[in-house]
Amino acid sequence: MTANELLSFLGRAWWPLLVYPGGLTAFALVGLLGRFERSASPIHHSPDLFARVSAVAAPWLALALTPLPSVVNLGRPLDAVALLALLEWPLLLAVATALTTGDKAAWQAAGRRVAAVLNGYPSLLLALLALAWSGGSLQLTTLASPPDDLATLTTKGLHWFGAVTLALALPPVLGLGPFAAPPPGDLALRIGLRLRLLGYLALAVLPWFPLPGDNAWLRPLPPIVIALLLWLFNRIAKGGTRRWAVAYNVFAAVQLLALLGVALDALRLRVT
Amino acid sequence: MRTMLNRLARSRSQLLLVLVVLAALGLMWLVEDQPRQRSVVRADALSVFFLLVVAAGLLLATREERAEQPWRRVWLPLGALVVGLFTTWIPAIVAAFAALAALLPTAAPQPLNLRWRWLAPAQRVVFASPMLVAVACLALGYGALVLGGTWRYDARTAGAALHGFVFWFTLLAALVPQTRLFVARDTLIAHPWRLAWLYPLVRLYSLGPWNAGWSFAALLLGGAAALWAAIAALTTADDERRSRLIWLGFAAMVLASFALSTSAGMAAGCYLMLACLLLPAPVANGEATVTPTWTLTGALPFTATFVGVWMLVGAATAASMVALAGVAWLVALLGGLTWALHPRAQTQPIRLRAIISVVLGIAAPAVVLLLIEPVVEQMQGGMTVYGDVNVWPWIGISALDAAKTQVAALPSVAVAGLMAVLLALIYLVARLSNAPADNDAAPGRDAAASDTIIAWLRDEVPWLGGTHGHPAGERPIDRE
Repeated sequence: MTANELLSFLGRAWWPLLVYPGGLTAFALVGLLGRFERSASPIHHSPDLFARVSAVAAPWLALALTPLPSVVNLGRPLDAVALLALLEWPLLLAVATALTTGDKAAWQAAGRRVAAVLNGYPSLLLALLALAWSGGSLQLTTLASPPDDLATLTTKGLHWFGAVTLALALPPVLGLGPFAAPPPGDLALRIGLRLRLLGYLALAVLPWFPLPGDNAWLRPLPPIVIALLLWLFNRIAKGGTRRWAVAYNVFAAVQLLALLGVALDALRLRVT
Repeated sequence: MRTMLNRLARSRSQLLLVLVVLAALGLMWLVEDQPRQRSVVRADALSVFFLLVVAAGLLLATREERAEQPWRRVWLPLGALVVGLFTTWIPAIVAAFAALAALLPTAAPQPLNLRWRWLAPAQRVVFASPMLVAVACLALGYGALVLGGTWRYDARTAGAALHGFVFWFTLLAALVPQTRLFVARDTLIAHPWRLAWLYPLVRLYSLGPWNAGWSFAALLLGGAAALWAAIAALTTADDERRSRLIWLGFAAMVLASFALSTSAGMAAGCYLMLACLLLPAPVANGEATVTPTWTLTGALPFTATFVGVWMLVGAATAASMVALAGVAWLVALLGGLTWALHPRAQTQPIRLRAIISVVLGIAAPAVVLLLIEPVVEQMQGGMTVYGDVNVWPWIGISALDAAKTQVAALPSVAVAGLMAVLLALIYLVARLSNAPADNDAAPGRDAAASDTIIAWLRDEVPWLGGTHGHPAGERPIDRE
């Protein structure tokens, strides 16, 4: 491993960073998302320059390094842990900034945002762990590839269970429907949060991409279907946040029980 | 004049500590390939790594906090620790740690009034009791080794004396110093000494592999404590308690990493110890505490705390301990939210820790290669094959499972390079588009906002399990 590999990595990264999936593609989608967004809170206080710049850069980088179809292979892919940390950065900055504004509406929005993600994290992590367990790795490339034909039924079931529950875990994590909060006033934070939404969408779509197989014209279908379902949830889901929070907690408990069941089964097989 | 003398004494202490750190680095270079030994004096990578961690921690601590009686608080305990670390003779290790406990900064008891002055010695014993318990446990655990005929840990038959009794008491001896949560006052200098108490436990790997049941129990304990501490740190309104809980969470993760009994776990434990040194003190100079800035939360890649937690997640996944991986991952995410809910202004010493955190995080491959790999290689005798660390010096690190399949990868250097490119690009665009310049100083945290949000979270997030939030009629966030 030499410095040349680092240089070649950085050299090959310009297309994912600037054109697809980051850069132009990402910012076109960010502009599109802006048309559907609720009106932003008035600006009382902007975060400092580093926070504004990094709020955009971190989720942009995460999106650029997601191994979507037709993306240049950089050879050293990220794993889900680092990806999630990059994606969460604008949310953390939005919350931290809101609490220094002295504006009650801003910190109320921050509170809603924190409660929503806290209700979503257990489901999200359990879904990702199910995918990682099935593939034996946290690397995004492994999460994206379904088990081969020789894999056991449990492994296959675990993979698709993870893929479905990952998509279902998104509404609270992204603050959709009953979990929604007014977007922050600062433009950089708003762009950062939209990039975060795109990053999570890309992550949830990853396991579904291999389904269309060689039919290239069917490839856009998984992201469109998942985005449509999330949009429908955002429009249709009603009711108090608390009721949905309880529902998502029950959902996480079911996921946990399912994973425990698989673990016990594996243990039983090993013992006998 | 007195201030000048104090400053001189402090800088002399720091200079000497710099020399100790440099000496430890030199020693690490000497013992990198194989341990050096003469009779019962033995220097291997594990001993040198612990010396390095404690000396570096003391250096950081004395920079921010004046050590009362540096001879008693720093140099004598350090001397005792050196004896404990570089001897293979088990009674000497116990004696060294007993001396360490006697000299350690214990919680300062409230002065008694004249009428009760005669109770002062008993009061001191009560306040020092956690350390007494730790010494007693170590004496029992290591004493059982001696009773089993093992006087030196490098003896050929030492492994035969390693049994449950030894393990449980040594585990207790390592745990007790980490858990002094509710004692009135703590100091920054106590942090590295607490880490030193993990040495007798990790040293058991030199005797032989751990029983699977011991590993599992320590994993369960470490994972559960880390999760509890992260949730409690998120929901507590008390700054001092929060800092202690963050410390406890990291100490629990160090324990869980070592308990994995794999090369990847050992590497994660060593790296997390380095990250622990950067956690801020519960109380700095007797003033209000400063909560961790973002570089100290495990919230963003390129920081030592994140890399430490990431290594634990990777090691746990490699060992098929999916539950532990999930817990560590959740702890990292909760750490980020804890920081976000309690933003504070940076202070100068914290900024130094922040810079060290970023440097250690990005240069993680070099740190692992130079300081941690020798430890992992020399402790192989006690390790299982379920997990290893692979270093790509110019790119990053990855975790491998027993089949040498990559289970987690963090190209920290490469990703930091790309992040720098993006930061520069966005900064340029922001400047060209005449984006508003940097604001004046932030108005400061609204403590009431944090407290109200925390109380509200207990209501709105069922799994946090709190029932002491605002009554239904007083839910300020719902009132818009």
